[in-house]
Amino acid sequence: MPDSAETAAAPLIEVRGVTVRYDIARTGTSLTAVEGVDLDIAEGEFVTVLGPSGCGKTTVMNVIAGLVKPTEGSVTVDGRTVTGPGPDRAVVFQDYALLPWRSVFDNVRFGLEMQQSLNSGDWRERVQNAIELVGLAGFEQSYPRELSGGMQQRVGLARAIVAEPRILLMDEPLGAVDALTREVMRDEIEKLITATGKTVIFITHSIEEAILLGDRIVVFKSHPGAILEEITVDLPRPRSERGAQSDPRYLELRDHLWDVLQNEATAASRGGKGS
Amino acid sequence: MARALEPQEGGRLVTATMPLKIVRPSRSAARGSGEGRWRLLLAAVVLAILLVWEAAVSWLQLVPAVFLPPPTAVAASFVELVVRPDFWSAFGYSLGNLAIGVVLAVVIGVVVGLAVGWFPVLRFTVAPFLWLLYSTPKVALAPLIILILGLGAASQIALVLLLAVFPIMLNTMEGALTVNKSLVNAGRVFGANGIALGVKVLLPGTLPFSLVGIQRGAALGFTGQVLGEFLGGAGGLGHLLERAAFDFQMDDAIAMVIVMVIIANLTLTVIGLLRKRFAPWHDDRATVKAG
Amino acid sequence: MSSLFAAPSGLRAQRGVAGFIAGLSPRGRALLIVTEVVLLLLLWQFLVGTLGLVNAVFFPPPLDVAQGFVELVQQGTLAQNAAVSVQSWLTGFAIAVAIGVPLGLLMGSSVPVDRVFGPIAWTLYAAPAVAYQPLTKAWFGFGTGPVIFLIVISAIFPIMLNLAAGIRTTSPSLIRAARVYGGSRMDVYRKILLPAAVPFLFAGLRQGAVLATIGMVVAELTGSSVGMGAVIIRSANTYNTDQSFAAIMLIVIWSVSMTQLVGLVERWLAPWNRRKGAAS
Repeated sequence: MPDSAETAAAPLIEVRGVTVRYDIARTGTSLTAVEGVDLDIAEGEFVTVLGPSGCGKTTVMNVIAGLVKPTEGSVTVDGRTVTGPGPDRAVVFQDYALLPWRSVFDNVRFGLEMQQSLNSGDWRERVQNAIELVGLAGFEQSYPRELSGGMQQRVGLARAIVAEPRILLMDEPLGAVDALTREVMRDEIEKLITATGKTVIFITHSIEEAILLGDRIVVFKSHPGAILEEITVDLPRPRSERGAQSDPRYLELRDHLWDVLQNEATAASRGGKGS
Repeated sequence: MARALEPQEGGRLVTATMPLKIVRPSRSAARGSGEGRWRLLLAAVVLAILLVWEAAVSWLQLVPAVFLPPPTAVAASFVELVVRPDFWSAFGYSLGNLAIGVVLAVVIGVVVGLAVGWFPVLRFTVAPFLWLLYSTPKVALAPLIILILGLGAASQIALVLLLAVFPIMLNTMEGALTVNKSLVNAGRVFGANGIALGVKVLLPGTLPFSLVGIQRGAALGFTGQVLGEFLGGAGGLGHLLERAAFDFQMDDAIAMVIVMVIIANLTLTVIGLLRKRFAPWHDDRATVKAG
Repeated sequence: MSSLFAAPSGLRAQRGVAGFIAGLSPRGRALLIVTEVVLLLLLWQFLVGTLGLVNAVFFPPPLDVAQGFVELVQQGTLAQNAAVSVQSWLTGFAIAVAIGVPLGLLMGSSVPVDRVFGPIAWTLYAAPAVAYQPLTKAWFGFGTGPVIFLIVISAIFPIMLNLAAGIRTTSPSLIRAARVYGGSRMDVYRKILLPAAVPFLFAGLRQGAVLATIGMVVAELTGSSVGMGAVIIRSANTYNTDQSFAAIMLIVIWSVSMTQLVGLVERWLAPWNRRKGAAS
């Protein structure tokens, strides 16, 4: 067992040989969602996971979150094996997953209340801070249905950061947001999260998002889901403000990722594995 | 195609007769081998209930058998009942009236529903009335219908029609409205017009909605038929049941009720199968959500 | 009446009368409907009352119905029978809620209960409640017993089955969110499943209120000497159809008021669920 002195160098998250299979009772067969995934993520690293829809990237994230038990392999966080969700990991969901019967304030409070964090006297302040951080001051008493998709996801983000988790797991958080808001929020996420030094796993199928946000890009393939390639991005931050999109390294990376995904898509369709 | 048919409108789920309709949650999880076990358990529980009933009445005599005959007595009456010729003539009479009433309701309901759903003028002027009428307890009109049409088949058919027509009409209307919005435009884009538009887009698009309405309408129509027979009429299952209860033949009466439960469930199942057959793409679960 | 005043959302350009109506505010459209109702009543009065085109016994014109209402009040029939009906309805509905809600919660939260009890409940719910009427008459006699029983039987299933469906169909992503933020099984139940089922519960209550009224009318029509149903039967049998219509109108008003009341309670208890443009 490594103790804290040694983990300073060891990765914060270690994914070892994770395979997830689902049994399909109706046909008596099983479906392999992901196979043999190995991944190390260092403390403070921002990792983007890129891949086509249905490639199992969300499954890997759910395993790390403790929502799905791997059929084989294991995930350790800070040296401890993951057996279920924990306060060190927060999730931002693609469909926001806000409680429709709660106001913005109470939805953000939800991130604290079940961890007995409400016992500490300053919880109101923490909730308020998180709301202000994501730019929703003034909307505390609104219900989710009164907010736009982008604003709802800001609530989801505030709920995730309010308990100050070490790790943020973001499952295509901007996937359901309109294009313009998407760019604005992407840049805000970069500034907000890189400033806090949190460890982030950010799932996306947008090449642009993967490059602009990630310290490292993990490219997934499908059928079964597995890691295809890992690429370190060494563009200076904050990227959007420094005009990363016109940086030749950005363009090169974008073309490369495009080719990788394109080849993967053709290979998959030739394999004839429709699902 | 399937997406566009979901009766969802700006986050609000609309099926015309939603307040009177529940959709069973789908059993997606734990299908397969588990299903057989549950059926077995269900059978065991039903058997246990019957056993307790039998014990309470026949052996422990907690309840007088005159009031609540034991299951064995009811079963005996049931067997006796289904070989009686007068039962079958009553059966034919009731179901015949029900069928005529429901068919009339389908014809009127679908025609009016399509028209109101299709023409904006009718939608704004007539539809509110239909909603109002739909939500009123029309059974209260039964005595007046009998007063006008007399005792007998005519008033029963009228009652069936009155109760069955509204869910069919309003569901069809809601269906036509839904189709109206997206599919018709798609149809136009691909050059469908006039009759072709109606036959290829409007009718199939509306059908699943109409079938939901017909299912509900048939159930309500059955209420109408039985009520009509209770209030006055010879022949028919309701009449037979009432006579048995009046003569305090409780075993016969309960057996009759069981017959009606079976008929009602069979009718719903058959229409459910029709829905599966003619509109397999229609997602039922989309119609439940918030009422 | 959910889409009564809902804004039109057709993509076709609205022209002429329809376009004019579509442009009206919700209040304007409500006014239009009221105007239509008044015009229809006037026409009815004119055709039947003045011209005598139809036998007034069968379709008494509005003024006669009003007259019938006054008669019912003056004879004291109304006060006496309406009180009985209201009492039966409230008692029956309260019993249906008291039994239906716990059973629905149980069915929603326990798979075995759902799998065993569910099919039995659906089977009984599919049959018309009116079929149980002769049995209850034999069991409870001719008082309000059968009426209350039929109200309970009519209202209990929608309440129970809707509530169970609500718990069962809660979005899995909300449950996941609760687990991610440290929710225990109890937390998931209390903070996610129960509130998520509230709109379904109210849908069931609304549906139950409508069916309870139908059950009440059926029971009173077929086997009671008191109550509004009995008033309808008695007046119809003596050709005082103006009184029958007055009694029917009162039942309709009761039914609509009760469903509106349920909607009001819902808006008060569950304001997050308020839908734009939806009346009920």
